[in-house]
Amino acid sequence: MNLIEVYVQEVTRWLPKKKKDDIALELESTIYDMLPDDYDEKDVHLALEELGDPKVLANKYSEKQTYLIGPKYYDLHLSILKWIIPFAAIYSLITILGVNLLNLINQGERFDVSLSNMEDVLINAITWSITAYVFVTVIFAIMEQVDGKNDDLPKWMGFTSWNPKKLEKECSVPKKKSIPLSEINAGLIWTVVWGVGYFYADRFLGIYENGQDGLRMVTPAFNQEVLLSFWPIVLLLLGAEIALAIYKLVKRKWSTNMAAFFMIYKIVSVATFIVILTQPKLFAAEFLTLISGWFDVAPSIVKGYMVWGTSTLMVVFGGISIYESFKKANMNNRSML
Amino acid sequence: MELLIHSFLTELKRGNLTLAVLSQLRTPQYGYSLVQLLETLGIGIEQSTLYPLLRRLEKQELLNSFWDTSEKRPRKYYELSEHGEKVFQQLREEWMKNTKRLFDVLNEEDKENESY
Repeated sequence: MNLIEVYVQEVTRWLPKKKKDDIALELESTIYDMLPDDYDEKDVHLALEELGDPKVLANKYSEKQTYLIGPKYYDLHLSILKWIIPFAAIYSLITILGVNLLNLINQGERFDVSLSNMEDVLINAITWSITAYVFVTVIFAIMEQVDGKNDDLPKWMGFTSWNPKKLEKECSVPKKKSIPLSEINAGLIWTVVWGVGYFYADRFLGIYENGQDGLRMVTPAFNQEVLLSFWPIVLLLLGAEIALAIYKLVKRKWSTNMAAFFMIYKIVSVATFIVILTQPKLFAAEFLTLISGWFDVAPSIVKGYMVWGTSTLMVVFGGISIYESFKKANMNNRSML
Repeated sequence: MELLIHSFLTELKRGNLTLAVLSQLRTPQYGYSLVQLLETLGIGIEQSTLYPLLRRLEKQELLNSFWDTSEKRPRKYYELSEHGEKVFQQLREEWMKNTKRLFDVLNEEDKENESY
């Protein structure tokens, strides 16, 4: 094979089959056109040098984007990564600590935070971050590929294009009305924590005793079957919390709609938990007896305090948070201007 | 500074190139003959830019193409299509108008300088 053939092959190697042969033939004929009648190797070198790097030429022929994520999605991609990677890291930290705790309690071992434990957490956090990064990036690369509109207008949070209204939103949102990322992340982490707590209550929640074998659970606080009989609605509540987090992430400020969504969620959730709390067999009998022993009162009174105390607290704090959310939503947009 | 000027000039030339190419394709040309033709007209063009450009214009249906296999090696000829002719005329008018405007603006400056 001579130099010209190799060059042509280099250019057309990655081109689509349809165009390949045609381009190859044209290019070859062009190169021979460039050469004098009795050419030698030096002339070939000169001609090829004039045509330049075969990869550059191939790129010009293929007209395809040579990037994974272009300017249109770059900023959005970056800001989602900035949010999701710390979340993935914290999430992995909590899950691995939870699993460790679970194992330790089940096996009745002493709970100690050893170095290998921390190593696990670190490795897990890195793995999760990389997974999140790959996942988000692949999704964005696909979006970039399938986005038919070649308008080069960057996408903003909520996947919309810019218009002057966005500025109004930015500069007129009072500090209290805006939702910081930390609040969203804390909310999601709390969702994970209470979700795990609910489904594994018999293994986590209860009275512990520090005996010879380390920390040991004497009795769980709840009857797991009673708790689990409510799983569909609890799952729904977990889903609503995640939906709310995404809603907050997209909007980044309180609105009346968001406050209304929050209110419905809060009312349903408080009602659900009051119903759960008032189930006659919710608390494990042994748990009630133990506590009543400490305070020297009848188990039924202990139960009454716990049920109505918790219910009252939930209603009061739930009410306050609903009030707060509407207050934030109705804050005057213009007050900062 | 030279680098900067070079990049500005490349940018200026890029848009004009399509017009130059379209203007010379009323008669069919193959790649290398077009390069030579443009060169005699004083329009230098990188070959690695021209050949892909011809294909793009063909894809946009501004040019028609055919292979001539009667000579010692096959050659691909490009020619302005009817649609290409219309587009070219419109671009040409716009270019003339805009260039004249800019010319006047830049020329004005020359006159001002002279009056000092």
